[in-house]
Amino acid sequence: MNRSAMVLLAALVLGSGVAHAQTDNQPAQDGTTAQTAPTPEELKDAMDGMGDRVTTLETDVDKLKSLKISGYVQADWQHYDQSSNQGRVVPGYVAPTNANGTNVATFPAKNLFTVRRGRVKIQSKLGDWMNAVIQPDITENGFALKEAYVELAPFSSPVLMITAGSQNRPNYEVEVSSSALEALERSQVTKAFYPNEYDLGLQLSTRYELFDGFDPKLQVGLFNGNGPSPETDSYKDIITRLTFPIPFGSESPVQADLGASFYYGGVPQLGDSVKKTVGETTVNVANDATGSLAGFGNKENFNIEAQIFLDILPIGGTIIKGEFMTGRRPTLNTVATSATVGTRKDSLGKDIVSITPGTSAGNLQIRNQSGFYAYFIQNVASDLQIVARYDMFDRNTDLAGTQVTSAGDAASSVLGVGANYFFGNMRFSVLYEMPTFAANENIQTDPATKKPGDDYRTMDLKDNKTTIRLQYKF
Amino acid sequence: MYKKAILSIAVLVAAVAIYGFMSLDVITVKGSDTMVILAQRWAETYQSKHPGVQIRVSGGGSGTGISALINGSTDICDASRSMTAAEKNSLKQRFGSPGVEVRAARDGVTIYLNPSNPVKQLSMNQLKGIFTGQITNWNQVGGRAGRIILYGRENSSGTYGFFKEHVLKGQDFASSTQTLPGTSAIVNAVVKDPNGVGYGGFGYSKGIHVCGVSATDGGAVYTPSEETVRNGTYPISRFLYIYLKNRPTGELKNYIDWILSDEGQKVVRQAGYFPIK
Repeated sequence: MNRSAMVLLAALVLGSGVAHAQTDNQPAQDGTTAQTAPTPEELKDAMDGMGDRVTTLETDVDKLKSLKISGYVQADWQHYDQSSNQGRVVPGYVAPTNANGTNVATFPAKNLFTVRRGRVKIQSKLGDWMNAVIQPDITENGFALKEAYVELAPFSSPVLMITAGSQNRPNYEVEVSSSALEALERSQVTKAFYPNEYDLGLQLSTRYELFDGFDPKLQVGLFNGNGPSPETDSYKDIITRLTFPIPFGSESPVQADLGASFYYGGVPQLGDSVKKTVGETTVNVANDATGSLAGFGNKENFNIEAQIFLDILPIGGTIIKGEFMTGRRPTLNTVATSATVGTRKDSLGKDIVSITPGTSAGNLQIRNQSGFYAYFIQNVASDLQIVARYDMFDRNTDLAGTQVTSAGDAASSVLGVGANYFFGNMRFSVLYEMPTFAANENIQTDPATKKPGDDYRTMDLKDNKTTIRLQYKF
Repeated sequence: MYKKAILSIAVLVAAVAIYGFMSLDVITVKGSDTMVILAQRWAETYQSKHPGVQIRVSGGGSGTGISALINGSTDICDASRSMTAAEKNSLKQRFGSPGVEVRAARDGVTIYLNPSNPVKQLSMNQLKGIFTGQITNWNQVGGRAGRIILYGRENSSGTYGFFKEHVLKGQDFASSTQTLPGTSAIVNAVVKDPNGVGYGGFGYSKGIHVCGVSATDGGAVYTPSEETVRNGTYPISRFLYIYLKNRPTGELKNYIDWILSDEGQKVVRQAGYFPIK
């Protein structure tokens, strides 16, 4: 409360006191005077009392000011290109998922409105050294807790942050706020290696300026490895990430950040074997013979990342960034055990062989996987951003061409182009995504596109996706 | 698929070309309250000579201005502190550039005392003690007995951040500090309060008692002046900054060039600050 408000309050109280005094000083009915006017000492006491009350109020207001509520709402309209509402099920095809996490190839609707994210972030700061955050996500699919952590910063130089609770895993694309993703969603490979983005654990983060313009940042985190879900085993995953700028100098129109990260963890396999690709086939490998496959160590990946920022064009800054990830993951075994084969016509009247694969509910399958994403972002003035992203994910790097016979082993890529328009706290986005997947004669069954002699080629199904998003941050 | 992609890209490129070269005739300026009078004078002088250009100036504090720069709602951010690494990174991630920092003027953070206060000088250690609440009575620093009343800025203020970093060495302000929404409010409060002490830009120091400051206890005492701020003998000297999202072009570049010209720097003196050259 400022000084003028204090004076006003004091004046009101004193005025009130004087008014009462005047009333009290009116001759009583019996002709006597009830009370005398307040002495200067009494007025001073009243002022002091008011000062104490103002101090109390200020303390309460300061407490309220330490609480910050922010968030954002993303309202989407999505459209999926499909030839039939029944979906065309092609074994091996890994179609993109829609906002509800449903495979669009079998999703019965071609378009939908949805609240993609409804985030409310409640943050409380105690000075500069402690910060607590709770962030739920509220959409038509229900309520989900995303972030809930306590952050401590015991030192300012070198910067040391300790974060405990449900938090983003250390990774570039994971740590970009979902409200700032240029291509609206994270890439396939990031979703595969860092599912749900969040995990429960403890992270230490430090940044130190070794010389002018060179301040590497190191993050080390220990996590349950089970995403936002409760822990189910004693294995913990460790993630380290080192990022640093290339010291071109702050005046340079070219800036670049490089980084590398390593993820090492595991998922226990309770059965006596795990599945693994050996040669061209997937086989059961006994736990006791391959200890590392059975638990800790069956989940690891190594990433390299780069972000290049160019302030060269007169229309605005350019960003080129990407990340390559390679490693192995415990995945569900989805080898087809039997299939239902049928024929039907698509919307153009062409015959399509429709095969519905059966899958075995097998053990965990350890797959060697890799993938990358690459963004090109061109800013135009302050409020327009043009975006193109290409991302690829190979679900089993041990298999290629006709060796791929199951959905879980297929590679797929997505090219997305779009634009973001910013006005105040609003952001209007349009994104058109064109997925393709690596097909072969085992899993490519559309006679309309199959060429004789083809045994491995890229197949383009009618599965493109359009997203229009209106976002408001508060 | 690729035909569609090429067509989409072609449409986008055409839209970009049209949009990107649209002329900028309104320049928005937001940020430091310390600099708001200076920014208004710059804008008025420039507009009087360039009638086709509109410059809209508002305050709110350096932190508010930097946030506005990052979310794209202002063309120029005035700041009485330098941007942090995290803020530059946010700008870089959004606009592809860590921003352009322009040192536009010099200032000495001034310690305001009531004209009736007999204290004429304070050391940096004493200032730290006063504003962290360790020194609570004027008689502890050579003055008459009386409880020290602290006036300061909100935490969105660049002066708040600068003072905290350079005078308090990162420690928190005393909880009894009364936070006021602008430097003028601080000066007004200290003028009316015989036991008050506040801080702010030298440009607001008219009608107030400016306290001398020494870097060390018993060391040489300086008050802010063009000479002491320029040569750094005044211990709380700083630059006043202008931040831009990208390298400026067109009218924005003309305006920044003018601010750094002799004519623009003359306005700096008129506003009570010190020129950069």
